[in-house]
Amino acid sequence: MPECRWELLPHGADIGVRGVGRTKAEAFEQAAMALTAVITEPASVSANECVEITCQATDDELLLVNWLNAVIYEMATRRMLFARYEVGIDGNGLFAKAWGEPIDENKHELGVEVKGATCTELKVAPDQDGGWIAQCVVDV
Amino acid sequence: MELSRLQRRAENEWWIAPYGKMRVPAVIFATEALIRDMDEKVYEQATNVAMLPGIVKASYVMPDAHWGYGFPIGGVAAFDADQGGVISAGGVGFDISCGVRTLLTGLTFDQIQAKKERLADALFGKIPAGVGSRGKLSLNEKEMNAMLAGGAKWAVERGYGMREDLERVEEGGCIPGAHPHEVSDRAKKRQREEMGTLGSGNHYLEVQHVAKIVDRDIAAAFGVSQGNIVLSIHCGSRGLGHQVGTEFLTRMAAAASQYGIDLPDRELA
Repeated sequence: MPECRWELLPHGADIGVRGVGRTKAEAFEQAAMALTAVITEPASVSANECVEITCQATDDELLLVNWLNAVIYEMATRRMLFARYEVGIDGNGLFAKAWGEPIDENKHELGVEVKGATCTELKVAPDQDGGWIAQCVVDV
Repeated sequence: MELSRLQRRAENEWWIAPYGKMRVPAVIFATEALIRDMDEKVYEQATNVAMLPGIVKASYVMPDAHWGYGFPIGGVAAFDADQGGVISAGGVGFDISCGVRTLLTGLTFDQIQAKKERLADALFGKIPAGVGSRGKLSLNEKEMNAMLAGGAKWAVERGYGMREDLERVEEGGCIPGAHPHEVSDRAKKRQREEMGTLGSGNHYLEVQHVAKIVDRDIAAAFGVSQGNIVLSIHCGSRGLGHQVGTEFLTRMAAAASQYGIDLPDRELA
């Protein structure tokens, strides 16, 4: 079984996010951690406030895009950053909690704002180690 | 891009003849040097576009082409509705009303030389930019709809621009026929937060110095001469454009099979 982890992948002017987990839900959590890492150093964000996020899609891959876009929407409209995610997937539905805090320029070193998740390099699949991979390119 | 996979039809015109599910050829306009530097993904994306129903003549690729979303950036295609042509939300793209604009300042390099630092500080102080920055504008629902329908004309009417600016914007800054009520509340909410801010990432405002004039006639037409200071601004779209594009693209990607549309890449939905 692979350890839970996230990675950023180069993609021209944009950037790819990849989450790896023991389950599909964990891979989705890790992909969202990678998203946080595009914007700031995840360790600098305190998990003080909890936001509930739900979304649906017709398949796993569109569910990942909808999930990351829902996180982007919450970050943009609440002006928050998230440090931790807990995801549950039930068929076509996703139910999640995200913990974080409001953006603080003095505390968070800010990189770029993410506009949205895309279907480019989109993949949600089991990997050869018996875990799951969830990845796509995000537009910055 | 591998030259051996292309047919050279003219000095700067290269063809990918239809194969597999391609309905038309892909035609790339570029010098040999540009082709060599072009990403292989451009080849793949141009051929994918050529597979879409109702495409007219060819999937075209401009010299600035690079790896995009579904379409290559710099990709051009026309679709005939009478021949089963499709609308591709991905082809329209996420960057709605995004662009670069250059403002003439009437200042010269010598005039600002001694004040560069103060100028930079003043610009940073006055212009909200970066992640989570806040603008001074907050639009209610009615004003949001008026802005979405009126475009740059709306901005000028409220004193955020000058009438002459509109003469230098495509379609006078407003393409009629917009339906703001079709834009979701989520998209409007993202715009509400970003209104009046520059953005981050590759969005920028630069103070630029015209160091050299290459073509006198073009420079004269734009009112630019050597030694001028101009401001170049890249902004637009951002959260609003992405939210609108993504919402329609995911709906269309999920619905494509119902209409018998076989998408080579979901990003083309």
